[in-house]
Order: sequence, then C-alpha cells, then structure tokens
Amino acid sequence: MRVVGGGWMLDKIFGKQARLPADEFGGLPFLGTPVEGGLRLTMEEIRQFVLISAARRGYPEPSHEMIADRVTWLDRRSLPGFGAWINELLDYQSETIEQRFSLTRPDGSLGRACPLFFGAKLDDKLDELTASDKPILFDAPSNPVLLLPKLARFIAPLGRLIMINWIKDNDEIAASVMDGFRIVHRGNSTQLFEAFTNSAKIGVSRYPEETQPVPPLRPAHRDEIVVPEALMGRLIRFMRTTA
Amino acid sequence: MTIYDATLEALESDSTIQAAWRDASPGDRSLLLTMLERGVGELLTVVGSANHALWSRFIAQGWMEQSLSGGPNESSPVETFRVKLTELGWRAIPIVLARLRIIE
Repeated sequence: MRVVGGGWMLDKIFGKQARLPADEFGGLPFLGTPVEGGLRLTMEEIRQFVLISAARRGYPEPSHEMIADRVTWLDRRSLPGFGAWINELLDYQSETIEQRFSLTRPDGSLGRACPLFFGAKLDDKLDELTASDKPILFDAPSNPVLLLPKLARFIAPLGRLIMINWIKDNDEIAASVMDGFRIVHRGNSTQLFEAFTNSAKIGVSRYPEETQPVPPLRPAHRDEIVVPEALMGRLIRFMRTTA
Repeated sequence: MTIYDATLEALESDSTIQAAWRDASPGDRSLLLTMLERGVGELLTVVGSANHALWSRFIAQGWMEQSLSGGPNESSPVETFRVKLTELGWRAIPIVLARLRIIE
C-alpha cells in the first residue's frame, strides 16, 4: 500500500506543513498517484475516499458502501461520479445531513435534495418509472447524475432498457439511454455536464425499442480516473476539517 | 414477449442451464458479474470445465457467442474456449444471475 503518494501535490495546495502522516484520514494512508494536473485514482482508492468522506459528512453507516458503489459505477463509465460526490459533500455544508434528507431546503424552497436520499424516496415508484411508455417527470435532486446507478441497479435484473431526459428551463438539454450495465448519451460535453449537475427536472421512461433503433450502449471501460488537483484539494480540506 | 419473459421461459424450458449453474463454483459464477460490472470484453476457460459447460448453454440461448478458441498446441497445452456477450446477453444474463441466485 502506498503512503503519502501525493505529497508533492499537497505541498502545492497546503504548503510544506501539509505532509500527512499515513493515518491522517483515520488510519488510511493518502492514496493515489500524482500525475500532471491531478491525482490518478483507482476505483478501490475512490471507494476508500467515498467511505471515509461519507462517514465524515454524517451519512448513516449502512449507506456508505452503497454510495461508493454508485460513485464507482459512474466513474467506470466516464461519468462524473466522484466529482458529483465531492460537490454534494461540499456545496451543502451549511445544511445538516438531516436537512439534506428533506425535499424542502432550509430556506423553504423545494428541490435539490440529497440525490441519495431522493433515490430512496423513489423506491416504490421505480417499477412505474422504468416501465412507462411516456416520460414521467420529477423535480431533480442536486447532482442528479448520482441517480443513474440507482436506476441501473433496479433495471438490471429485469432486463429493461430506459431513457432519461435531462431538463432545464423547460427544455431537454440532453438524454441518456441505459440498461443495467451500459449507457449512452445524446448531447455535447457542455450539455451533458449541465444535465448531470444542474437539471431542474428529470424524465424517465421505457425506451421504445420496438419502434426505435437502440443506440450503441457502452459498458464500463475505466479502472482508474484522474481527479483534478483543485477538486482533490477541496475534498482534502473537507476531510481535514471534519476529522 | 419481453426479454425478461423470454429469459424466464428459457430458464424453465432448458434444465441444463440450472444443472450447469449448480456445477459451477462461486468463483466461476462471479466471473459473469465481473464481466458485466467491468465491461470485460471476453472470458476465457478450458474446454471441459464447468465454465465451458455453463457458457455453452448461454451460447445455445443466444446470450453469448464463441470467439477465437485455440490449442492444444506448442504454446498452449490445453484447448481453450473464449466467449463474449451478445447484445441480448447484456440484457438477459443479469436476469439469469438474479433468478438463479434466488433459486439456489
């Protein structure tokens, strides 16, 4: 196991005092391999970061492995799972975890609930959502890309193929088609990033494969990702301040 | 008929699939999930193995197709058997895995 592998990067972010002992994160060494512009992380390393950061944020313990599974499901498919998770951790620090587990924000506004809590709220609607011939729309949680693995885990043992419409300002900005293990998207990278992070509404329906050609779905294809320095810096600061 | 219904029907009508599943080890079975989870392009086994028997049943159902096989020869003393998932297999095998685990 590597120890303090990203020391040079920590120096850049935090100064010389940042050299971390191996147990800085509650017994885990600092993982990852420094590369130009960021840290190369394996899926196991991402999983470890998610497990620890979920605990630090106060997510109930039984959910930690589930969250790590969702994040790595996305990252294995070149989707921004780890980035969305870090944003989810950091963008709502002013709210307690109990407040995140509510469809109403502390200021009384609706929407942008925790996507993991929101996924659990969908449990009794998943069958209808993924079997419907017309898209069923709902208000998007924050970082809605984190909902995709939830849908994938549900449809895999049913052999279903579904379509997701990403909607913002009443316009569809992108779409995704997926089965339990593969996915493909419609939209350019800017549209997709906006869809995955800032959609206001999401539509889910069965894909009409009897009448429409099925676009080529792509399976998992990554075993590691490069996480930008700035993003890792934000996560490391969070982990240090919540230790 | 949906892929789900067709897959369940295949499991009921072809008892050799369940028999081959029972003969496969936990490690053999986990290979299938790894293939789905990690997008492994091909699986390789030895002719005559439990995996060979199971995957041959999947080929018969159109869920897998055989790709290159080889040996025995100077470089490989055993006859190998390579398979990959078909389009149908990507949808049907998750159903098979879920059902056979429940049946066990």
